Amino acid sequence: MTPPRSALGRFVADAHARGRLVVQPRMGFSDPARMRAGLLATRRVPAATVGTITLDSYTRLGEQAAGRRALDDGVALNGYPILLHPPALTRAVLAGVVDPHFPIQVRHGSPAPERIFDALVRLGIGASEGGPVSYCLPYGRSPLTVSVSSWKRACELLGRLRGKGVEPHLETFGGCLLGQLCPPGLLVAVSVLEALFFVQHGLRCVSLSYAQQVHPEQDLEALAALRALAARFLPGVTWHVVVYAYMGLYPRSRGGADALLAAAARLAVRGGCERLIVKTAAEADRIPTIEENADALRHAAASAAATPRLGPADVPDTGLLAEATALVEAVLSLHDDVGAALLAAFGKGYLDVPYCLHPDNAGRTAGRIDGDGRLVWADTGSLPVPEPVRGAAAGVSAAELLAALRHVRDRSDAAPSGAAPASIPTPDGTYR
Amino acid sequence: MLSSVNGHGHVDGARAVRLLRRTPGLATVPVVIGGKLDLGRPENRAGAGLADAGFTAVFGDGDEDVRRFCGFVASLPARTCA
Repeated sequence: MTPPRSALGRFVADAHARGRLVVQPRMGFSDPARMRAGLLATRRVPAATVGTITLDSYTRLGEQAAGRRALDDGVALNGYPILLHPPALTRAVLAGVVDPHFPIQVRHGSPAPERIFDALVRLGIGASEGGPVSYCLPYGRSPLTVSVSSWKRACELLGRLRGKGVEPHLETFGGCLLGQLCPPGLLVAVSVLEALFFVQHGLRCVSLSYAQQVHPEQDLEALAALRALAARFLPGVTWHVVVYAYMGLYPRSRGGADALLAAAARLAVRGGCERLIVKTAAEADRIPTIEENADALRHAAASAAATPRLGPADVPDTGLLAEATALVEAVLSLHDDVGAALLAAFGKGYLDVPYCLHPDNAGRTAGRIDGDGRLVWADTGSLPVPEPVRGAAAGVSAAELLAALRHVRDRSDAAPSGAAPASIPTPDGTYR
Repeated sequence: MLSSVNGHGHVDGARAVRLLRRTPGLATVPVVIGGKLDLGRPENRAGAGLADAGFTAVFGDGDEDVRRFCGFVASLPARTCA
């Protein structure tokens, strides 16, 4: 029996069958007319596109009063305030724009999305994203246990869409986490675990994310591992993989930004993936305009169309699948309930996100970029990986961290704009 | 030190530093903010309003800002108190 498909899942599967990579912007405006214009511009791009409504950060954090105050003061928000605009207004934004040939996804970043998902159910919007780990640790101040129980309720809420004839879809953000300097094995593992969490709470159509990191061959290996684990752990579920263009410090030059996005599109196609979230040439400085987003979608689609798919055998194995598998299996062994397993895993340091300051993250791991330009562990802390790395004696210094954060930008821009930043004094007066 | 990259820093940062400055003992303590502080405009345009609200210094997220920030940190008299 074919598993149920959401509108987004069906659209993506059809495009993939025709050899086309689905491209999607990040886009959200507080002004409803501009939001509608952005969706229409996305739809008009001659490519397989999905529309995006990104919510503002007051909505993400449940700070409706602050959002209302800003709207009343005429301050533009960083996204669409779906809980502040009346439902009739949002329906007008979507009228005649959304159909089976142009699905949309609501993107939000909330560790506690029940109210947002409740609004989606009322509006009949079937696709969103996030996850109990990936929208708590990087973005939220709420405890992980609150986020896990919120996300459980929120997933179950989405099931009500079926009463309206809408099959819901959720995408994991776990393959992105902080966006950079997290070795790929952990990104793959968290993406798979969040997909399992969604499925345990009623989702039947999901996507798994992975964000472009610093080394194309390593990223290809990560995508192969992600697909292998999804095939193994998600039987009877419709799934696809979505690649995110690089999320760290973006190149400042037009040429560098275009080349990085083209590399992300090639990565998605070569890795056999179905959908790409783009970045724009404006990304280094600010939130892009509608036209800059449309340019990025065209450029990504053209780069994808010029790239052949690879077979699985073409991807070298350096142990990434074994590492991700070990992490997933160790977490699942902690409890039959995936949410409880995730909480236990963070408690034990079986999952531990590098450079994440959230109090529920153990903070004993570190990532670094090695001499071959690969993203590797500087310290695996308590992660149950096959090849642990003990890095306490050779910790990552502030200067190395700053250089690693700038690595992709500096490599992509023909004329990097700055020399290495000044050393930072440590409290004992030494410099490192 | 406050950091913000979501574009709302020019609003939320100003509110936060006004609260801090009204707190007894915090009127002169160095407080800085950095990141992507507003939407769509070149970095540091939000700077004047944030400095007026009470920040000791305001940094964008450019390379020059990082150098200025490192210089600022190095200029602070530092001692361990606990």
